[in-house]
Amino acid sequence: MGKTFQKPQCLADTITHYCPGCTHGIAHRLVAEVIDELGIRGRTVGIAPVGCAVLMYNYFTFDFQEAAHGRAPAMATGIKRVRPDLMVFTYQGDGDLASIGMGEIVHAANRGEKFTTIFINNAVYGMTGGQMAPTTMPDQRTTTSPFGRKTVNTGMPIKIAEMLATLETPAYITRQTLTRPKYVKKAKKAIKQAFTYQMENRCFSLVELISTCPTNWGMTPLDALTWAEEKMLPYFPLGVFKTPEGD
Amino acid sequence: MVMEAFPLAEKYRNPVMILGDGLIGQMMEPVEFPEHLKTEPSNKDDWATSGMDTRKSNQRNLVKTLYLDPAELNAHNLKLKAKYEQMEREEMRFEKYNFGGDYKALIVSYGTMSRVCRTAIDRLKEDGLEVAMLRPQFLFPFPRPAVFDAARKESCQAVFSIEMSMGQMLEDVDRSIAGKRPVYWYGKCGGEVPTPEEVMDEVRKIVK
Ligand SMILES: Cc1ncc(C[n+]2csc(CCOP(=O)(O)OP(=O)(O)O)c2C)c(N)n1
Ligand code: SF4
Repeated sequence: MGKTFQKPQCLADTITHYCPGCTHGIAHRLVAEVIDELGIRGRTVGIAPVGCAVLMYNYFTFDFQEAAHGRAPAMATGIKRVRPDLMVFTYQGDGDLASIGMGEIVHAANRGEKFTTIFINNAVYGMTGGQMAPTTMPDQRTTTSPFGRKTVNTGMPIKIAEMLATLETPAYITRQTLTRPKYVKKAKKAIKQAFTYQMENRCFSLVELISTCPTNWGMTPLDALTWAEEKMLPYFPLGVFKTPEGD
Repeated sequence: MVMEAFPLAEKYRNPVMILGDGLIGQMMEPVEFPEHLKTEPSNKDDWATSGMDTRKSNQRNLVKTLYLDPAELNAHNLKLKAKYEQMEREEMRFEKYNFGGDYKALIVSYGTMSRVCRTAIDRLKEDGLEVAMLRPQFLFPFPRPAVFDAARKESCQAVFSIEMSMGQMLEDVDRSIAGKRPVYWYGKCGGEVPTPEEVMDEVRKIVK
């Protein structure tokens, strides 16, 4: 019998620092599989965020740069514009992308920069200890909203995918999740689609992934998956919000 | 200078900041462009994230600043320190003006302000007062040895840091001279440009 399952070439043979049950690992694997399958490892450059995934370059086996908090889209813009033949992607959390880096992502998407963003929405700042993020759910307890997020003075969670989809500039914008195998498969398809658009030099692409942070949510990995489905998905619906013209 | 900034940034893998001021920003003067603007750093394969396909070796390149292990971070800081020291050895840039005679005072001034000082120096010369100027072209690395040597000339009684700022360069000048000569500051801010007459008055107040 031949090999039916193996580690993607894009993933390093090492142990990650992620907490047990964290979905960062799944997201990493999907990105690695897609890059393997598209055969673009030798011309891919990843941009690591600030957040739990800051060390992600230790787990991938191709060129990487580390950006300042929220500035990955600016770095990706520079690399992609200087070397349009490279496949450039950013991988950012919701603290990174939707808070300090909000201006960067909106303008990069609006300029139609032809890189790909993998956006991990786990409703908290993971690395720094579970503080409230712009994506934290109403009444969700975090270390900076110990009585639950009060929308009266913090507003409602920001729907990044929907918001970016309102821009007139052509783009591929989708929201997926990693809570069940069937969703993981769909998420992989979306990531592959995003990279394919980039390979065709078509448009900016962003895949939002509804993810879990069992550690800071104070839940078991399984409960966290259930919580994401029950609490987050009704507010953050899955789907494709925008495709470049002609699709 | 803008054109020099790029090769320097690549040589040292360090951002180069180009300092301007309001006048330079609004000024128009003819510029000559050299033939070849593009330079390729020679050691790019060792660090540039240009894709693994572009390299003969199988190595992947990583550009990062995060070092979580204190020993590693210390080693990194030592590497940076060595780099700044190399800049001090190799990249000091300045211009000398009216260094010929036995000047009584030394002006240190840069940018737009140095042009005004040049006029002031020419007029003082007509009046029989010799003043030299050292114009740093790079503020970092600051030309400390050159300022020191220039200030120590026997005939030089005083040093003036003349700036369109509240004395941001004064400390550098002071440190360069290490107490060997008195150092004075004169400057204006907010878009006001000191006139040659004002500069001349400042010098005359101290140097007879
Ligand atoms: C300029 C700056 N501000 C603040 C921080 C502190 N900081 C580190 S990680 C982080 C939040 C990351 O949260 P998120 O993007 O949601 O990623 P996660 O850790 O959940 O994967 C913050 C605020 C920093 N490193 N730099
Ligand atoms: S803190 Fe949360 S996001 Fe970070 S590794 Fe742990 S579970 Fe994952």
